[in-house]
Amino acid sequence: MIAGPIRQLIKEFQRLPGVGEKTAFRLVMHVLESPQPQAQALADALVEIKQRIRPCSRCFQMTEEEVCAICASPKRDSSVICVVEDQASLMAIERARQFYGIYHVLGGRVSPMEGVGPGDLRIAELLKRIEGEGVKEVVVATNPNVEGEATALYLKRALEPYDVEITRIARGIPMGGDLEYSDALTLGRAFEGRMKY
Amino acid sequence: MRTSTTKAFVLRMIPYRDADMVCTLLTRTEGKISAMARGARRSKRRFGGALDYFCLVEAELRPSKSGMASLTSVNLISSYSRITEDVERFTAASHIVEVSRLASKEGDPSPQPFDLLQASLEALQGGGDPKSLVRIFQIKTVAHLGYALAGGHCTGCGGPIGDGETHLSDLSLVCSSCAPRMSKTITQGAVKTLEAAQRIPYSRMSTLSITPTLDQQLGPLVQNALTRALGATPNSLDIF
Repeated sequence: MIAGPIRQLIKEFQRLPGVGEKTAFRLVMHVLESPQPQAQALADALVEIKQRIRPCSRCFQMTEEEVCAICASPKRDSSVICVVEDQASLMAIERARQFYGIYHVLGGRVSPMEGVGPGDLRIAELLKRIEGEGVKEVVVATNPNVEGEATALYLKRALEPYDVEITRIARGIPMGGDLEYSDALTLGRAFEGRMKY
Repeated sequence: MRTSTTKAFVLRMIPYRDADMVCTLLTRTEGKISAMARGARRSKRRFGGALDYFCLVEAELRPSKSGMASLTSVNLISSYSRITEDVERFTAASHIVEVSRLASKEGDPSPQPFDLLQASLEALQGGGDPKSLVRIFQIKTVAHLGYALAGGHCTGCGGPIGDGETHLSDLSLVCSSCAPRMSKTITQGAVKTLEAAQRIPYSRMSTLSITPTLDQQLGPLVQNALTRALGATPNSLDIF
């Protein structure tokens, strides 16, 4: 017989993505065997993140402030908006330190199989920003897979009536990759997106 | 354990841990298979761009003692990537893939779900009308699941059906006297379209066009029958 609080915590951990019953049980055991301050710190961090973090009112990335540090920074070029599916994509681009514009987090990608249509994404909010923020270029940086490409297509269609340049991040061979081992689809994209050298 | 190779379509991909993916594949001779694709989400992916929806691949699988097979490699046979160049085609293809997942069974040796999916994606890629193709796909899927349109005799009482009004219940014809307790009246044109959609070979699906008027009659009936036959409502049913 498992004690009620243990059962409850297993159930809560199982709600996390990629966590099954066995992993949840291991996590619970880890918490139980941890010193009290460590377990308390975990609990405090969970409460704090829900109380203090919210979406930026402009770009919808997660932040402590009303407007996030990227949107508020005078060093960023606010005439270029990079549209990403989620926070993880934004963080990956920030880690690369190659983009100096601002962002717009869509909150997912179009996925009819999961019941997500264009109306479920923050496309209307993006269009409002384009109307009111003097945007010159929108970089569509959705993932280079079937659903990401379809989302990019929806965005292109929605953005076409606006006086704004629409660009798409390049797709093809990754740095450190090998042509010999690239599949036909990736090579095809690489040739489609070739540029003057 | 020995690896095996099989032709497959990806029906579902669920991210797992940091870089892995749990894939549901539809094979021609073994039905639906779940497999773990390790490292599938890394930038230097071992599966390249081939592990995605709307791709016919040769999948190498290694069975596992713990249950779920490992997907060890994937070679692209055909990509139906032009489907994503049109919003309506993409939505139609997504619906077809989702329904294929719901309608197929693990270990089912029947090649029909695989062949129907392949033919539907080929027809969409080739420029067939997405709305008609989705409806024909739905009708064929319902028929495959055992709800085929029974012509000639009433499914209510077994008696003959006259040339007058035609009534339909769960895609089966019923006579005028059984109709009041069993549902909906449709035109002879709609019945003929329904029969044609069931009969038409997979390779010729794009040659059958369903007019908006006929589709207005057939759409709700077919969707209702599909939901019942699947025992679930596809997420993509409302979006399409």
